[in-house]
Amino acid sequence: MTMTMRRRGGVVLVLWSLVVALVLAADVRVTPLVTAGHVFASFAAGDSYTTEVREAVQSGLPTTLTFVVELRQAAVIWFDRTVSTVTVASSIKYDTLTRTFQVSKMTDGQVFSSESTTKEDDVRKWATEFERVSLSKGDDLEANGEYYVRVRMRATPRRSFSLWPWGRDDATGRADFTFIR
Amino acid sequence: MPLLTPDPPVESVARPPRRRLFDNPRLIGSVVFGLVALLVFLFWAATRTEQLRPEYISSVGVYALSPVILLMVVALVFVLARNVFKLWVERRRALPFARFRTKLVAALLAMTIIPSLLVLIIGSEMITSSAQRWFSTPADELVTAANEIAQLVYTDRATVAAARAERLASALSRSATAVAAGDVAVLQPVLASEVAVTSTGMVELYRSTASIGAAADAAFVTSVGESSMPRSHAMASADRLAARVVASGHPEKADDKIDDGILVRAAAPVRAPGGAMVGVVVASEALSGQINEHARRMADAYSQYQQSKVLRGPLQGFYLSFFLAVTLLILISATWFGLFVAKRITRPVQMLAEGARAVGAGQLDLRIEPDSSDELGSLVESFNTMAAELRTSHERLDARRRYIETILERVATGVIALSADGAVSTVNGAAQRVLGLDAHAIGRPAVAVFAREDLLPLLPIIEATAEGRQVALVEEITLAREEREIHLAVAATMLVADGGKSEGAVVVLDDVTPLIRAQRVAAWRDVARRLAHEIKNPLTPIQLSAERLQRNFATAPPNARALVDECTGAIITEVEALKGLVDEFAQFARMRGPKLVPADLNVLAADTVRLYRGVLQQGAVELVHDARLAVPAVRMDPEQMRQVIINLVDNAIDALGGVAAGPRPSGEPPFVRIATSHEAGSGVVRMTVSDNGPGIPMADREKLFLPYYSTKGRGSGLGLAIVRRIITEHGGTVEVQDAQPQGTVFTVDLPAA
Repeated sequence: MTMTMRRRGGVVLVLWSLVVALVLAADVRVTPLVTAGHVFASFAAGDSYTTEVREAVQSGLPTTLTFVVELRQAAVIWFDRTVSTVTVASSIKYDTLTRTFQVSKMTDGQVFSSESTTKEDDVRKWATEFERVSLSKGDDLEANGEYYVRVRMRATPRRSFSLWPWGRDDATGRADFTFIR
Repeated sequence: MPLLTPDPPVESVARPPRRRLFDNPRLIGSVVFGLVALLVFLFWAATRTEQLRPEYISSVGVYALSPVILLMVVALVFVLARNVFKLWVERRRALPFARFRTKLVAALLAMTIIPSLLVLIIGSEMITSSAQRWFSTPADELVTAANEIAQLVYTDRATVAAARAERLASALSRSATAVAAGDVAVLQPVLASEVAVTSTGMVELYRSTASIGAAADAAFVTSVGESSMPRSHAMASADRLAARVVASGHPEKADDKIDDGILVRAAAPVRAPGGAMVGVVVASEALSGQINEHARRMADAYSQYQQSKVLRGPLQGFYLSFFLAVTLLILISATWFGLFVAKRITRPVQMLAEGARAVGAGQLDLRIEPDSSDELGSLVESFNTMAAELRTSHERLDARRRYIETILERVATGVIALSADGAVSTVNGAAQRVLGLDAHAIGRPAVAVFAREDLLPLLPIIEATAEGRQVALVEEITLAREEREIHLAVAATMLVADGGKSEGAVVVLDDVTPLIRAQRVAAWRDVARRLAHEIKNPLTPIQLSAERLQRNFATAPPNARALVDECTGAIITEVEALKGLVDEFAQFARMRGPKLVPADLNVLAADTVRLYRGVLQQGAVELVHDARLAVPAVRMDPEQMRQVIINLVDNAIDALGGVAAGPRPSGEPPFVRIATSHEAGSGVVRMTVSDNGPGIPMADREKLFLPYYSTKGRGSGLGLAIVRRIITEHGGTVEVQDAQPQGTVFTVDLPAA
């Protein structure tokens, strides 16, 4: 480990000690991370890989879990301000002949990872966990400002029918933090 | 002066109802065409859904259909709510045919909604049942078994490949040095023998290139393939698989898609006797040809079946939504069309009812524009014809009414009409003038109107007829109004309807005052003629006898002559006076009828005033003629009218104390003023002769115009009698009243030419 890496790790630890992360009781566990003024978010939504999703995947349906990650600032008398939004997704395709799962992960429509496995536990982990999703470089954030990261997940195709198919999230998560520059 | 009757209803301009947007046949045709086209499109779309993938239907289809359904629901609710609200408002306002329209709309809606809902419920149930049958147990077992067979085929190949890889790895471990060195000459026979034994598949050998400080990797050494293996398979995947085994140290497997199937690969590490990995052997088995095709087809069928099963809810919802959309479309169309038909039926009838009400209220020029040429259109045309005929009749009646009103207004006879409830309904101009009534009398109870003090003599007659006690009543009464007497001939008649019920009364008043005056004058004229005849005849012998006595006693002694002269002188003087008196009577009795010619009363008055210039002394009585107002010509006898003016002026000068009268007690100079004016409303030219003398007591006023009546104690007392006679023969009136603040004013009214 080089000195630079060691110093950076120290800064991360200090920042971690300063970040007040309130992980709310939600389906998606969100962990905001501020490193050198850069805001990241890691989240895990293992619970959102429900039986319904599993059945859809095993039927061979190309199933996509879409996560909308938002960096937001709370407002007292108005709607909260959205600082930045990143959409990440994981697409799962199961071959019923070879019993192989193909998991592709995307950021804003661009595939950045693709894995094959025959183990469903790996699929659950790969499809529902994202690390260090970049949200902001910190230039547009207020020092010592209170922010929160919200993650909303939707699984498609949907297995239930509704006359109003819009605006329904399958899982959500939120974590508050104080941005300290 | 207009006849005082209640105003007739004002006619309003007919405004035919405007055609509304939804009555436009082209628009209706377009809407119907659009709906039919939409239904055809939906039918076409329904037949095409079979070709769509389940996930496409359950996502895109649902997203596309949901807004359509919501839009239709909103449209249906809007159409229903709007019309129900309108019906509710119409019923609250008790508009004509609101109940009928409500019932019609309710029936049409029931005829539309109930079948639609039944079809929707039954159709939904059928879709649900069909969906259940799609995923029945036999079908489920069949596709699952087929998929398991396909999987067994694949698994079998994978097992074979794995076993071969293990077997070769074990065999090659004995030639570990050759593997590590990549000695193809040594290894090739081993691999070839294995391929030859199985006669299927392909084998690839890699040697491990692990070294200190660098990541382990696998380097290709050699391969042996069965001739039936597809030549186009990808080598790169075998390289990756070998590298994975080198990295993990465990057997791995992988699949490669090839042109006509799957290349099932299994890799096993080749270890030296010490356990160190020296290489990797990759055994591949091709699953291709018809076996692969069938296996793939079975797997795909299973997959599609499972996908449909998984997406059963959205698929079922989609088809239900589709069915619901069609039902809603039919429902909206039928509802709208039903409401439209109800409106088309009720609106003409409603318009007719409203039109009848408007016509009843007097809007006779109303015309209803027919919406159609059917029976309802004919009914509307008949209504328009009826309204037009009513209008014509109304105009005729109105003209007749105006004609009667004009006559009533112009006649000199006063007419008062009472309604059945005893209120005054009509008072014509003559009655207003004679009785001093105005427009406020209209509508008031007759008993209250005639309770006025000067009209009290009329009240018993009014009450008797208004209350129905007397059917007809004729009386002559005298009213004292404005310091003069008015003699009226009153005829009151009760109006009786066909059933004997009273409908009011009509009271006709004739002002007979001039007639009575004329009768009096005529009577006095006859008396005067007799008096003149009877008195004048003996006067001449008396005078001659007295003169003879005077001549015979001219030679008598002075005392006797003086006595005779005194007596005969007195006789002669009185006889002369009597002669003068008799001459005046004779003149009054023989007065000729007027020779009427149009003349200006102002000019005549000015000429007459000029006669007095030499008589009136400076500083004494002032005679003024106020000719500021021009008056129209009057048909009159100028000589007689001059006589009238002279008599009135003389009378006034006498009242002031003669031509040399001094100032009045108030200090102002004595004056006599003649003035003329024109009463355009009544067509009368008025002349007033006023003075500021002591005035005439009320009790003497009516007697003033009688012959032989004089307040001066001298003269014949015929002056004012002659005035009245002349004015009466000119068709006018003469009245006397107090002047303000003091004096007397004689008012002469003459009809304008």
